[in-house]
Amino acid sequence: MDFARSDGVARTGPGIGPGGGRPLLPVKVVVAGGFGAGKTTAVSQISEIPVLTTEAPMTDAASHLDDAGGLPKTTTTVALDFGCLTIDDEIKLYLFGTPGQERFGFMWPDLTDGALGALVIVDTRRMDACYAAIDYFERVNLPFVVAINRFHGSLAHDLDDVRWALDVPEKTPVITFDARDRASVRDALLVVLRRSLEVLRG
Amino acid sequence: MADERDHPTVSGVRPYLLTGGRVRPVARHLPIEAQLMTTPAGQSASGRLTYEHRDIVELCRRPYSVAEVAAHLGLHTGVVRVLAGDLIGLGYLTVHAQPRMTGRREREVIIERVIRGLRAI
Repeated sequence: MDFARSDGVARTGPGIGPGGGRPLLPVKVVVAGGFGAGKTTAVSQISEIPVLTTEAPMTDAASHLDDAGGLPKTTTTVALDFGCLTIDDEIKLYLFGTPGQERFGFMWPDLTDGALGALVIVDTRRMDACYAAIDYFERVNLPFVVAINRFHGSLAHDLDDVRWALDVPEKTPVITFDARDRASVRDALLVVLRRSLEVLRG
Repeated sequence: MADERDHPTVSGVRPYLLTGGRVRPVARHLPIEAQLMTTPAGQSASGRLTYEHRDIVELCRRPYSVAEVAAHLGLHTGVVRVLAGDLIGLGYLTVHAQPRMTGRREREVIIERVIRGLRAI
């Protein structure tokens, strides 16, 4: 078998996709956070395909609503953007990014159903953008980790302050990471998965 | 078709037109990450299928998730579920997904493998 891992994709022959054209077992992790928090950036660091979206770019009306705070933002898509990574010859990991505000809650049952866990990306300038998602994940017992995206290498809030502000359970990890750094995103996902194991093992 | 895949846009066609008024997949609830793959029967039947069904059967000669099919064909995931449900019912598509009732030990093994796989990148 010809096994090329340089691009993160296992191949068994020319022109054959991940898994050699054989369907793999798909598993998923949800990546939630407000607009501009770094969801798409984080997913793109790990994904072996360009990040895809199933929804249209934000309408002008919605864009106006979400621009409160006047924070810089270059590209914004609503709804679902996602990527994937072939884990081994049998498992494929999907990462689904979703906004964390309540009005996007309609898609959460679908995304969390069977998910291994969730990474909640927090922009400390707009922490309210993930309240609803955190509430939801707690309600459906989806293991999650709060990850503060270190914009420009600075951390505006102390981790304990963020934990207090978000009122997350003591056992929920609160970490910092850099959504632009592949190893950092990978490590954040590893914290999610270890937390999932912990929850599973009670 | 190639053009549409290069520049995916959400179809302006309203979902109920594409799905003939059906709102649920014929076969079963399809998780958004479920892998769809065309069967040999589906490949043979491709030329006789309606446009939207044919697009799915053609794309899924390689396995793709419901979400990827939606993104590549510019359809909503709900529409893909219904159309894929038709094709599954006809034996033209197979579905691969993690059973939702997977036992604890099995889930543990899967998570451990994902951890190992991620560590390796």
